[in-house]
Amino acid sequence: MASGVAAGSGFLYARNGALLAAALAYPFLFRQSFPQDLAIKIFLFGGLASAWNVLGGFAGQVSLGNAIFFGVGAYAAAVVQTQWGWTPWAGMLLGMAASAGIGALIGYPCFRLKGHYFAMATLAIGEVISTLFMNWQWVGGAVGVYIPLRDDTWKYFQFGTTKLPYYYVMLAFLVSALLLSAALLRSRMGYYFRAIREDQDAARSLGVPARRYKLAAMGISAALTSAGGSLYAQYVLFIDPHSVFPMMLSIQVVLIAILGGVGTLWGPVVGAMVLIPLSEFTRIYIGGTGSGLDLIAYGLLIIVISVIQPRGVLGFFRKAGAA
Amino acid sequence: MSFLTVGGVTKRFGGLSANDDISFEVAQGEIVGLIGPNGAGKSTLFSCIAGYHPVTSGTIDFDGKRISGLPPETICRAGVARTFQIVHVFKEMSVLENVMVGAFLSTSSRREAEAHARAVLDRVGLSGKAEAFARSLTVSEQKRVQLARALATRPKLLLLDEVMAGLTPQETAEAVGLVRSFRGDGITMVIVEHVMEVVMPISDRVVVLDYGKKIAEGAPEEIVRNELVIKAYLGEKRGAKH
Repeated sequence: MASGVAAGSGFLYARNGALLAAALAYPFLFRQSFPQDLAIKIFLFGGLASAWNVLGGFAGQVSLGNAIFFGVGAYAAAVVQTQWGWTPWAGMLLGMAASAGIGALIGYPCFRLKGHYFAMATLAIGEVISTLFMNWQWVGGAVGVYIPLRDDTWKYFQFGTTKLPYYYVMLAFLVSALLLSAALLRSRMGYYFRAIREDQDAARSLGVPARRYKLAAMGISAALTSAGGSLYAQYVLFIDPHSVFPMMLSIQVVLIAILGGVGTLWGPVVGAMVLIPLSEFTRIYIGGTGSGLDLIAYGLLIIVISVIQPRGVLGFFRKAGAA
Repeated sequence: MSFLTVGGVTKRFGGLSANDDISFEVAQGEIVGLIGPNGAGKSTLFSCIAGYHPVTSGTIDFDGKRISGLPPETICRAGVARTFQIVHVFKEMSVLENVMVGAFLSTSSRREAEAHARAVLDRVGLSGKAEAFARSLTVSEQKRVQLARALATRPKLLLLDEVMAGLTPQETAEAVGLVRSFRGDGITMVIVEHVMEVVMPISDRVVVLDYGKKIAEGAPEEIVRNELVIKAYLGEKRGAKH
């Protein structure tokens, strides 16, 4: 069951309200750049992992290619500015539509594959698309895209003097992903997604058009991931194929969701709150030696968590196998 | 007037004919038992009717529509629900949620689906387990979850594949009573069991398969005296001595 159903809805509203209030107040308590940047990354990756979770966690179709949609979203936001002078918000919507379409194109043939083969197909397609962008001169090829710098503006979503707008927009991105996930879990579509994940043959015997629902899950996951990519592009203001199509990003969102608690509403958020600081702090304290020791420590900690609690961090708060 | 018509259905897997030119009809409201020794092709025939296996040749019509060649979800939407011989429950979902997936066929409202699912669970005697994870149930309980789930789609035709296998005599008696009660709701049923003692008392008619072929069809009391059936079940020599 979804987390804390037994706790009663009054408690849930109070808890979620308190969490939101804390998130809103945070940048006023931590005014330095680093803690704000850390929170922005947690929100971004929490949202991306939630987006992956719709397809991989709820519907059980493990994608190792979500960087495709992240990259498409980032490029859409950037390229509409450099080529046509549009606002990145329009690029974000365009990217979401394009990503949902690409997701459907990938899903249509790949959903014939089951289990590991679907994951492998998405991994391979991710690499192909990364290479395509590397050689596509109109979008900057291997050089990438510099988004033209401006004074602080909402229209072009650029802020050089403060991180606060980025902070709140990323928070809104995460909250939207969570609200969408919560609404999905309570809807017929959410039940159908989980039924497909648990046993596709049985789901179809109950009238669930499995293929259509998997495509829907793919579309939702892709569009949401793409929105995160657009926001990221505006945050860093420079993108190239290496920074927005890395295979590592595809794997990282899966890691975050699984480590937090796959298929649960809060798992991706908890995973991001554990993994992102872990990655940042190991980089700060033991990175820079050139030895890759930070990545070794990071990997080791991931192994330790998954050995202690294979059901994800959220599993610590739940009775094993209880009704 | 025939409700379900199986017309010359053949299903080949490579060189093996699991179903060989099988024909029979089921009238609305009837309970038909489908029996035969292990490997006779009963479950394969169910899978063909439910759309899991495309038939190699032959046709299947239901309620005036050709259903052979349609995918399982479409056949379910036409009013045919099935259970699986090997349990296929949604393990990481609660019993209630399992049944709600079936109930969602006729409504998109979560509240209505839950109310309908609870009513069905009550009917099959699983109310007490509604909140338990399906994986925590015994196999015979899981079979009842499958039955409830199929029932929740409000089927016109129910295909029951060995729902009573492995039950105690007490449980079997309850299950027989339950299946009989479905007839009162106007549900037509085809029941696969290889335990004769279970099928005979419930069925109006019995179809017997052996090595993929239909070897007999008739009222239960005729079937138990049929020589071919006795041979199929007891073997050639034993049959000859009788």
